[in-house]
Amino acid sequence: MASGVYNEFKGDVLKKVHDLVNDTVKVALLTSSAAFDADNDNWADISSNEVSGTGYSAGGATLGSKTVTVDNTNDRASFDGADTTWSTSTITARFAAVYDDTHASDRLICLFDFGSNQTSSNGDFTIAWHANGILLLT
Amino acid sequence: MTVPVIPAKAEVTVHPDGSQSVRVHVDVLDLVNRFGIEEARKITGLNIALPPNS
Repeated sequence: MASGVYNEFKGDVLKKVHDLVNDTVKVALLTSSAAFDADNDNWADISSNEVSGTGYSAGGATLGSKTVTVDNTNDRASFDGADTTWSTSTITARFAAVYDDTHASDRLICLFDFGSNQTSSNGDFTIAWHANGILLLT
Repeated sequence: MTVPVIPAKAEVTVHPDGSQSVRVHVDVLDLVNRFGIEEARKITGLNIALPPNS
């Protein structure tokens, strides 16, 4: 198992397919039955392994406070958003998929592997994105 | 691009009422396959350089 960025998204970046700040970007949780395959293109390719549970809506949560930041000091740019929380939820998830919900095909962006199942029980399930963002382009 | 799984840094809190919250910390993904460089720097304490034209 692994985390990764989908190949089609890499191509999309070069073809100005996404506007990650203005598009609706979703974060969805997946069970341990999922696996990262860089050749997957669209949310529908992996949605069969989406979790279900109290406090979780199919399709995932909308990523808030999205930013794209150019860092001239470190010669890179980053995409970031607010931490994602499913409040008062009962969820067991192994992966988080990020996809562009505005794109007609709900194009996949990347997948994060938690390394093991993570569980909330009538509590908050939060993904704390890294201080450097969700994605870096170096 | 795939990257190795770094064990999740998950903070699990069990509340007095028996409910449980989890906060999962994930690492940034590098779009051009430079993932891990900063973690590697932290682990080794070395200023690992990126290849030219990266």
